[in-house]
Amino acid sequence: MSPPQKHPRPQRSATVALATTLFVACATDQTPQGAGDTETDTDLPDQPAPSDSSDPTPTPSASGDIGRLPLHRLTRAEYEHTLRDLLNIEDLPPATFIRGGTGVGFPNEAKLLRDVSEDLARGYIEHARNVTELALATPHLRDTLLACEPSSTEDTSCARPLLDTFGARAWRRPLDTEETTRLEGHYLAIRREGASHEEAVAVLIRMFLSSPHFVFHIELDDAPEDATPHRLNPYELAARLSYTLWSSLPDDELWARATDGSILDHEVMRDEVTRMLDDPRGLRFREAFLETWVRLPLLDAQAQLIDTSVYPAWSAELGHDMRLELQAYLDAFLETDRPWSTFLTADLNFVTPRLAAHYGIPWTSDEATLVQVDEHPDARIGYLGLAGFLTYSSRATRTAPTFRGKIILEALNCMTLQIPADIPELELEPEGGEPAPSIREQLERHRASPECAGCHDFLDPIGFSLENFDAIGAWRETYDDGHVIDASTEYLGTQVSSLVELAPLVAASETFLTCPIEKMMTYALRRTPTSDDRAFIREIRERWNGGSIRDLAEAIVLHDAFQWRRGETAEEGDRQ
Amino acid sequence: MTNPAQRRRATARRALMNRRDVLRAATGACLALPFLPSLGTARSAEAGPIQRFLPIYFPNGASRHWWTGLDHSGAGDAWQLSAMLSPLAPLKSKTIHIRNLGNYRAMQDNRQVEPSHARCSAAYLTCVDADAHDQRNGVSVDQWLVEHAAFPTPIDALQLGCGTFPGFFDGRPWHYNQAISWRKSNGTHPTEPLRRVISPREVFETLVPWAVPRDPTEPSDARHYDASILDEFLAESAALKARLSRSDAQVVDQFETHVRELEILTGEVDPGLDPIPSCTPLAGALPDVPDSDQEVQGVANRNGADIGGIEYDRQTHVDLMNRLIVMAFQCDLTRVVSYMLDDARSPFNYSHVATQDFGGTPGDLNFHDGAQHNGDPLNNAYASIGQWMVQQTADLAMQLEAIPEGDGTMLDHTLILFGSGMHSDDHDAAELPIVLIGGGPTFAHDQNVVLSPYPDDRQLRDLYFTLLTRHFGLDVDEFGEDRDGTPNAIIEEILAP
Repeated sequence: MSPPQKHPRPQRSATVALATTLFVACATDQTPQGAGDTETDTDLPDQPAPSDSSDPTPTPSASGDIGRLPLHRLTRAEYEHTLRDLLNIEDLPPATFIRGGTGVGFPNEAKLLRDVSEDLARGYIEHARNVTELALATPHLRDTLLACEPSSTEDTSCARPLLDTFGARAWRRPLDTEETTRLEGHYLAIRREGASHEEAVAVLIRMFLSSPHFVFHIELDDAPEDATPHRLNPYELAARLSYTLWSSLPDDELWARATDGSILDHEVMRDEVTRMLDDPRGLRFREAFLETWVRLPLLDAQAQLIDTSVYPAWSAELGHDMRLELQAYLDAFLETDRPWSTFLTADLNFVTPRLAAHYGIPWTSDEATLVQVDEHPDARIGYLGLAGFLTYSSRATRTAPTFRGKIILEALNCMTLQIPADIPELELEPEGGEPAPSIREQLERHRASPECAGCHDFLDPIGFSLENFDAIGAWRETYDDGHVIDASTEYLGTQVSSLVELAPLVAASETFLTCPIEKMMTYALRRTPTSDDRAFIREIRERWNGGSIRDLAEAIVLHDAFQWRRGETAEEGDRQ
Repeated sequence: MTNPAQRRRATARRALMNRRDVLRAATGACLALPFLPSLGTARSAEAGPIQRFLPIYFPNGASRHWWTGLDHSGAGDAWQLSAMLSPLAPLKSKTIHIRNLGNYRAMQDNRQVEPSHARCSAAYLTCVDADAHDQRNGVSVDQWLVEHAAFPTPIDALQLGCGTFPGFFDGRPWHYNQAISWRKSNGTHPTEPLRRVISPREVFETLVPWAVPRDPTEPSDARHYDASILDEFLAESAALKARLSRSDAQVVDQFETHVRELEILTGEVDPGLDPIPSCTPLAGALPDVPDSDQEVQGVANRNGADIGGIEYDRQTHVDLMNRLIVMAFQCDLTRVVSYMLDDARSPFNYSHVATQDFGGTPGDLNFHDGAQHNGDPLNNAYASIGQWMVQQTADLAMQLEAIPEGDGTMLDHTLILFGSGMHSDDHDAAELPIVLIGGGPTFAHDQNVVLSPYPDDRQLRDLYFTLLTRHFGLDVDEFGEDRDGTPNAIIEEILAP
């Protein structure tokens, strides 16, 4: 009998830490500034700005590898939005059978979406059937789908709109002749068996929605195992754009830009980015990209964990309002040209009456919805001062300075903090409540050990300066046991004693301005940026300089790595 | 390709689908079955005694001091159950407690694995470190058994669980925390996780077709066009795969393989697989319990409060799962069940558990955040939740013990492996809490087995190797991995002379 499945030892990943990524070996004394540009990429030529020419060039202008996007399935959000937009039905059953995400990073990363387990396959088929039933039970949609009443069982004219319009849109490309012929054949065969037009249409819809062409993102290479880059065709490019900005399929206008090929023109692409981000569906970009990046979903989990015996002011409603404020804050950076460089320092608060009371802002409005306020809560500044952030970066019964520092450095500054294998989780994040010894004393003891100091020297000062905000983001002067809180600390050689002093320092660091580029590339390309992407990141960093999220989105979707693709190398195939 | 086991599973589901709607229509929201006379276990004509395997997993480790204080081996009166293990007292004569089994050598050369929860749970039954292989796991011991033992049951194996409130995933895919069973796959990864089902209703509906005689007059449903959907799917899949790279084609191929098995598309019922007429099915109705939909929507509440108008109680949930497992065994619908009493790193609040006084501070009944991560690692809440896990296992074992089978009881023909992939509050992968219950004469029962302590300890892969070869009589070259390539060796201490 055969032995259990053995696996080769993992190969070293081809992905190289970016120059902008701080790779903190925790026993070293590297600093964020010192860690940059340590790779041997310095003699790579700078990449020229993306061409504005509308003529597809025979080779990408970028030097180096443009990277490969492997075939992968839609995320749950993409699958649900796609069905919703395709059918124009708001209330569809949730596709709970699709799982994904790891709690860290973007769930749209292609390598996380290449498994189709048994329950997933079953889910696709069953969901397609349920949605089809629902669609045909929805009057306006039913009329569109049925198109007309065929004159005989041999009449396929009333099924043609389904193939030419519905099917093509579902698959994000026109059907080829073979597919059209085959599907028409199915329709006819079913009709000849005595089924009604509606029954036969239902079967076709189920075919479209159960198909690999529906559940996967599919881009084709003429030579799938040849690594020579080629430009995406207009339909593929339109789909990449719509799944990046809307987590869904192209709408009528973008489809038209694909059909006439004009989406290949950079000016048209720019206009589409603006139009799509202005559209209400642009909020899905906030949700899929911005919220995930800043780890806002942690708030939902934390909301269920907060111990109300320690924080009696907490309520689900307060948590809900905090979420609204975080989202409004993010939207302010997405809907306008507000520069990203002010993300940590902007005087920007949105409150409900409940949130105003939590912040200690006198607020008499009866308005239950979110209102932007000019009167800024004391000692708060930027995103890190929002109650929602301070809550989701805490634990159930206490603040967690190390965790707050970790989110700020890892998420917002793209630093990679490597925890030494011999440091158990327990010691990294001491538990047991704030007092005696205080969390600060515990952590300082921790930092006395050299193998811990490497990380904690970065992590802890950030967290200490936020200690005046408790685990639900309320201001406090003392711990519960009466000890006065000491928020003074040293961050990279500068004395700081509050969030207001710390935030501009973090915002001024190079990593803070490079990180959005790396994160958005990761999100848009659905893969970790490689060493060959670094030239572009450097180049865009100079031009963008902490500008608006919209400008950055435009630059990235016009970049070759987004507009081109290539087949799989033998080495990549073997790694699978 | 569909192997015989997959074929059986597919056929089982085909039959299920043909009767599921009938059952729904007949019984409405409240599923009930007629109480059929017990005729003993089916298929008893089969050569040799039946052997079943039931690994029961719990997360977050066990309170290290209160689990058992015994550091010397002993049998019979020379060993006593700790307070935490005391629910096993009625079964002590069929129990083996094993100390100093680790799983860290599948991952690294020391006991402190990081990140601990996700990795330790994914490796618990595979003894392969998915992290070390770009998230490719090995085949789990239960699935290895299914593949090689080829049991003549309609359902290969069940994967069950009661985790309604997912914890943090440690930056890993969901299945590290929510699946302990992994089987071979033709996708881009050599194995695929088998999602544990937490809905008793879903389990019930899987079992029902095999416990209710088929009505020959039952009308075939109007799904015969489904065959054309399968045809179309296969045509698309073939055309697409021809245009893809090797690894991309594998992704589509995995989808295709599972679609081929789906009864909803293939329609007909295999006439050779009638329901088993002779078993004692579950009597009475199933109350509503949370299903997986609610779980993934995150509405399952850690406090066990009402969920969307449904009263939720973890004890009821586990009681139901236990009854379903007994039913599945009684009807010989399957011989392998893996059972996660809760997900890895569960922050579920076990507020229904009465905190016992073990001698520590009170602690908090939030399993991960409050009990395991308490300032006092010996806190009473942590030990009490652990004791509750032992109690659920003991309850299930007692139900099996009460059913005669062959010359003994069903428990004598069912090996329960009860334990965790994590030691304790230290999050280590050494000195794992492991108990064997039942399984019959292979084992030297009523024993506390203390192996050499860390770092000269033994590894779980040797335990699984021992079970597969000596208990299930299979030919195994090697099970799991060891960082240094140490070959498997039998753990003689647990075997009867």
